[in-house]
Amino acid sequence: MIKVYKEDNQSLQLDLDVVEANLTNADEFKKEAMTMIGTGHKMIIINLERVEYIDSSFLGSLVSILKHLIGLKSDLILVGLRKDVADLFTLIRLDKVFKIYGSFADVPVNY
Amino acid sequence: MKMGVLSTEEFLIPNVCGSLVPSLKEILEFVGKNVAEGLDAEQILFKVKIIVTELLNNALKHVKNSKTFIRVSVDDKNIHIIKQDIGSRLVINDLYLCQKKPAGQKVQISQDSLNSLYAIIEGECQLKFICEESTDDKVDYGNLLEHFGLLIITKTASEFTYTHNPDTFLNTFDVLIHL
Repeated sequence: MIKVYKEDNQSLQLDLDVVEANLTNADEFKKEAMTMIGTGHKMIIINLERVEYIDSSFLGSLVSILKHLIGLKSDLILVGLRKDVADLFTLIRLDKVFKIYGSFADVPVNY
Repeated sequence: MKMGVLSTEEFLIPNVCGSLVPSLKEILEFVGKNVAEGLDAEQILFKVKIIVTELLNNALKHVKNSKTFIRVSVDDKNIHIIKQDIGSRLVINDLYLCQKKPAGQKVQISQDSLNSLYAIIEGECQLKFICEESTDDKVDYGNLLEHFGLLIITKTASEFTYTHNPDTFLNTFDVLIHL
């Protein structure tokens, strides 16, 4: 479900390989993500460009991962949000807690 | 669809994860066919998708019936979505929302740095959900909610009510989208 796109000392860049991010895969995503993070990266970047829709369960998993990373003094950045996904973040104001960029390349190098 | 004409369809959806996406697609096709010309169909379908997804999620998580009933009605002014199941009354965060409370009472269901969700008691076993956004820009990450289903429906819908019938154990979630 999650593929490593690029990794260095500072960041771990991940591609999420699902189209419908929903109740059926939210728990699996959270477990998989939790095993991949927490290895000292300053930031985890997840690319959601393949995701056509995201539901409340998956949003809950993302928030849970964000809270976990903040506890580790790390950060979670999201990129590649399609319009429906971005609109849902805006609707419940999660755009105010996640750092969101267009693509991996848009994330500042010296973040 | 001709202006003002009401189209209604009923869906009996199995309460299994695999039925989520195909059932949603079926409902969206029905709405798409019946939305009046001249309206923003893309935006309307987005709202219906959000609401139906969360209603079905609720059923999958909390309803023990094997199927969930959904009725969707469309006219040129509203989309009306009703989800019904047989079960115990709604309990959220240990709040028994159907206990006798005076009509008009505002009961807080959840709160974080972004949103507060409330139930307004409208009668015995009937309530309306409303949301208020926080005006404070400071975010307390530790208290962020991780459950957004009711919040998403409340913020997407024009009106969102819940009714429990204690005699028949019928739970009704009633969602209205003004067009």
